Amino acid sequence: MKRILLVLSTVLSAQQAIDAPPLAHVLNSDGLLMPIHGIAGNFVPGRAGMALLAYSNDGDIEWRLEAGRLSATREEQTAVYVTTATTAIFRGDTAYLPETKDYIKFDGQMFHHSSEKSNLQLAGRKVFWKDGRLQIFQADGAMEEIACPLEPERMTAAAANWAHLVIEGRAHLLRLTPGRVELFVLPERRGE
Amino acid sequence: MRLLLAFAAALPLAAQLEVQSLQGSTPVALGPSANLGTVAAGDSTDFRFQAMNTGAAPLAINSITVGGTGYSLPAAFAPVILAPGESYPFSVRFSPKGEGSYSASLAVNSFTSLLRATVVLGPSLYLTNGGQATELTAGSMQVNLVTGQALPLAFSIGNPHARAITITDLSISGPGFAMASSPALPLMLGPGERAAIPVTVTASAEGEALGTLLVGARRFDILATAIRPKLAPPAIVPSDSAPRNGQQLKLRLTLPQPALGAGTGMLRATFMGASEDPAIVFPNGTREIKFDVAAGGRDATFGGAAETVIQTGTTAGTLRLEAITETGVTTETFRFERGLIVVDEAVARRSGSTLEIDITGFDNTRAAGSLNFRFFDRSGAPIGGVISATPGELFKNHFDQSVMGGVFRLRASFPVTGDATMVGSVLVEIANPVGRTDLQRLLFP
Repeated sequence: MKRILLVLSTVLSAQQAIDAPPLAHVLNSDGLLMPIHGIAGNFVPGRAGMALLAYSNDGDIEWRLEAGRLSATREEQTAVYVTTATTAIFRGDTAYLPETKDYIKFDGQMFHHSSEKSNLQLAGRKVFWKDGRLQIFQADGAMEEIACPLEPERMTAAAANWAHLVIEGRAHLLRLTPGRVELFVLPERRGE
Repeated sequence: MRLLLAFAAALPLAAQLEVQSLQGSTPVALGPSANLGTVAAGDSTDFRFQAMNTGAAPLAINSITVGGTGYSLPAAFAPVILAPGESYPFSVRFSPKGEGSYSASLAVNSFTSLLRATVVLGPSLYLTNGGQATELTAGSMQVNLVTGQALPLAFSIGNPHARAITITDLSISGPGFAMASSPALPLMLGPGERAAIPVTVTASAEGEALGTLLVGARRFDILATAIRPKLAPPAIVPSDSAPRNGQQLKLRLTLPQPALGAGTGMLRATFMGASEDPAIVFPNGTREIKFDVAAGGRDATFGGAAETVIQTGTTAGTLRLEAITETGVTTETFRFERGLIVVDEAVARRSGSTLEIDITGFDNTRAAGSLNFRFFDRSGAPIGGVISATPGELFKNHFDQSVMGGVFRLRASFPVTGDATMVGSVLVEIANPVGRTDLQRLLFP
């Protein structure tokens, strides 16, 4: 215990950073990648960026499908896969391309074709809709529920603890933090 | 030629009286006799006429009289002088008590005409409203309806007489008037019998419309006045009676009474705080959102949804909500007092020999100042004392540049000399001018 020396007081101010980075990223209804700033329940959509066909970011892997290519990035390592796919479903380290029925697995450096079906992970959780409720199975197996009268049309990972849901055509953000599962409306970007 | 001109100048200008019936679409000159048609016994009918000066000189109308059982002049007559081309309208009221043939002499100055009418037994007319049938004894009625509404009028006819009557004519005319269903004709009604003749009135625009219901010899006018109902401002019902910063506040709008007709309005938010807060918006990303109320409904809808939300932002101030319709405004005002720092997410992690603490939250005073950290080993024993920092300048710089209200993310790194894995948890306190917020103990994984 005595060996622990916390060198804090002299360097603390140099080691601090205060900012307001994006909370999550989502594809808006026009297919444009959009950062979401703010905190839970008080979101401020940022300026829309590049057009993508599909997107997912679970805090571990960022998937992007754009015309002619699929890319995945983990810890600043990006791999690119040439494809004509126009749709993709991202679950954890696997991308499913429905048009070719391909499962593409990303190991952090490169892609591998996989015969394994996705286990439906969404930002590390399994999320199901049943009888007007969303059931969220956390990584430790704990199940949490939240009311959601209508079945989401789309669910994609938006950050480590956030999923982007489209319900009845309206964008929502689902907080997945264990013990703090909440469903919020995601406002449109002002002026768009 | 001079002789002829002098003769013509000596002729008096002629005045000429013509009495005309106004029952049809155009005036018709009255002859020595006139048939007024068939009238139902018990009805009172006004027949319209006019005395017209068709000559080139002024004409004095000195008297108008009518003589005959059941006939009368509804308005007193006073002598009048008509200029050439001018006319004087008047009515003759016919109120027969029983069936048969009736006649009367109508006299205008020296002009006379024999008026004749046939009186038959007619049906009684009833209107049922709220289960109560009321006999309509007048010749007309007025109804009010709202635009877009189909107003049902539950008319029925009955035979109040001691013997059967036969109805051969049954019709409704006028813009927007229709008979929902009608009995087969001829319709024989025995004494005391009734038959339903439901009528509907519809109006797509504001204004008046005249409908005429003809039942045998009876004529009944219905003046329908259509109005466009104006929506009263609804009450604003928040899901939380004491809302605070950092919420998505659900809102419903409710009218005290069901709306007479469909209407729309605007829900508007206004925020007054020390700084602007872009998070304070409705789902459409603005501070105004349209609402609709269906006819007969009390609850507003927002694009089909029964409620909307407004983000309450992360800045102290006053949020004013106004539900605006064309007839007024209702207001709800919420005050967000300056409060303690609210932490939304806090994570402690270890990265090699560095301990990292990541805190996301908001300070609605935008004046956060001091931080205290107290580290513990895996057994819960404190390691060293409280480590304090006053990054007030960092916060100030952040809030000066930020357009995100009171939102901040603080990341603090603590290089450790020694075995960083022995550090098990940390307690964090963060303060602003209002007071100190104690975070729950953060565990290092």
